[in-house]
Amino acid sequence: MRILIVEDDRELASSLKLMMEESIGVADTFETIADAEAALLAFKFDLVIIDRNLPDGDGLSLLPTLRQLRPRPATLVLTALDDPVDIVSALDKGADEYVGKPFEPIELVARARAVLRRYNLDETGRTQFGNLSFDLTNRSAMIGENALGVPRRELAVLEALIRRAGRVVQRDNLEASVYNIDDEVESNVLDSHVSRLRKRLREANCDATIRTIRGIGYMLVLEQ
Amino acid sequence: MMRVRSIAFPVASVLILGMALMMVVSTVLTIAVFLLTDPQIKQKIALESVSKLLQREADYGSDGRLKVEVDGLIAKNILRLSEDQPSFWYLLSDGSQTIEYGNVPASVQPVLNSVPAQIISSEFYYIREGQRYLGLRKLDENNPGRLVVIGGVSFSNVQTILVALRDTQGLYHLLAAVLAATATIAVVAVKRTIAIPVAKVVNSAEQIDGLPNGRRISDRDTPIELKPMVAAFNTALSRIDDAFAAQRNFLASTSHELRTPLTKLRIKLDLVQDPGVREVLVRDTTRLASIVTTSLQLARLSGQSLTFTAIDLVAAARAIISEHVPAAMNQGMEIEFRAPEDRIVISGSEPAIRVALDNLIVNAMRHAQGTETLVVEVLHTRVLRVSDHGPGIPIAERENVLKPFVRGNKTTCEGTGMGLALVAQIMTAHNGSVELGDAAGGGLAASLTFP
Repeated sequence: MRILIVEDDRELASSLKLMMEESIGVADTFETIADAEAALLAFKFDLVIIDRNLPDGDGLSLLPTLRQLRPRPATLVLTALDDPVDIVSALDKGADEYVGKPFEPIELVARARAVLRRYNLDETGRTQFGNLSFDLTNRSAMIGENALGVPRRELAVLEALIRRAGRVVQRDNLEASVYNIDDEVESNVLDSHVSRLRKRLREANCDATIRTIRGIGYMLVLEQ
Repeated sequence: MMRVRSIAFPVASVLILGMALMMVVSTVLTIAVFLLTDPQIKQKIALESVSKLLQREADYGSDGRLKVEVDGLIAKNILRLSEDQPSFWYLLSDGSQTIEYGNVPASVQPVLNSVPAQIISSEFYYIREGQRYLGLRKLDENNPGRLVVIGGVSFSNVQTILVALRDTQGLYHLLAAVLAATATIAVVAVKRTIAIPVAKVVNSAEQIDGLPNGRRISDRDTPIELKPMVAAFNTALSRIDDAFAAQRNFLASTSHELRTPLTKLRIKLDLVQDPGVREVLVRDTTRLASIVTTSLQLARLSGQSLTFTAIDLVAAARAIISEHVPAAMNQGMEIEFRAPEDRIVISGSEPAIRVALDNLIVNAMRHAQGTETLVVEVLHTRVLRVSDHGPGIPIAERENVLKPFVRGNKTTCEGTGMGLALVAQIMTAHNGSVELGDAAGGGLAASLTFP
């Protein structure tokens, strides 16, 4: 994994570099949009962490360049501005995730990982969560080296959950990604799919499990 | 006692007094003119009055006889006043019956005979005991057959005025009516010209909601006299807006500037070796960070009037809670959402409601640390409730914590002292309310009620 950090505060930039290198992969830091843009065009990065207030403008102005890159790196916007309107505009312009300053270091790492996972799934069709790996192209799941046999519907549930691993997937959204509009969805069908899937994961010694968030939905988490 | 100051009533009173004064002056002038007139004319006025009285009061009794029966105190007095004079006489005739009173002079009959019936009113003089008297012959205009002849009336000036006044009563009624009409018009006009424009200004002033949104009182349709007041109001509002904007900008830029150093501080703290020291410092930094965040939210919320849209409270709450679940899970806490209805639609500002619910959840997670569940409910009564199983807030402190920068006096408490105040402010902007109560099974239940 190669990470690009655009942050004009040198101290913060070096802290971020340290954090990322401890948990995700090699990081390079740049202070200006121009420098970052030059680096992006020259090298391949998997994740770009952008600060907004930079000496030569708003970090968001990097987003159009980023969108044109193939493969496109995952982007995480870091900012001291956390106006809901700002957040929406950043996400609209193509940022994958948004973290407001100040943040908990663990939170930033978790968000960065989540973004990468989603990005991997979209760009390569493969992703990993704990010892669970998921391959979208041949629709299979593996626990470590062992293939996990999962029926079609349950696999769709797993896909939706792993896409947002570590975050809640609302019940309605999960139903929408598992069933067609024409399917008659009985109220507890989803629950039984989830509980069968949960049992399968547990029996295969998977270190990820599905938590029920009552009244809201489900969440794929790593077992502590 | 409170004194009610009205503009309309004093103005009406002044008008009424003015009118009354004018009437008094005109009466005095009339009397003065009267006193300066010829004694014969005065006598004629008296004769006219008494003859009119007699004509009016003469009527037929049940037996068909013509008689003079006077009703009314003033009329009776006038007649008695006349009858008290020895020279007073009259003759009343309808052609067939004749009433005579007093000593009718013999010279009257030839006069009567010589006057043609077409003449309604005529004066004549007669001599009695060497004195010249004025006599009056009058036919009733409405009843030409009826004749009154009268003479020997000599009233004093005062008596003449009184007698004449009775005749002109109608005029005074008219004057009184004019007076009453003037007063009424004055009250209405004053109200329309002063009270209503003032009320308009007051109404615009009442719409000012304390938000620095540049709202001004319109001076269109404002009477020229009130324009300085409106202008002064608006100048004051501009100054308030400017002060507010300065404060808001200060708060926003300070909060913003503090965020990067705080982030660096927080990251560097992970390098502290002693876990005890690190924990305390991280907690303080977290609190500092949350003060900064809340200040910024407060600055943002007070800097604009909220835009209201229709919001499904159930869906909104579910989305907001989802975002807090991972953090809650990290501290070993579960968040449960309960909504008996599929949709509860309210009118409100989604970003503001998000800030309110975020604050309630973060507060609950902080204060109920170590407990297992946090329950968020959307009830069909348009209530959004967050219940925890923490220590709760003592009843005596509940009202206080809704004010800015007050927090529970527990030393372990890390609240910013602003979260609940911010929630209260948001609910006020929604015309709703915040209620801090006891959760079932102990703990705090914070309920946001939407109208």
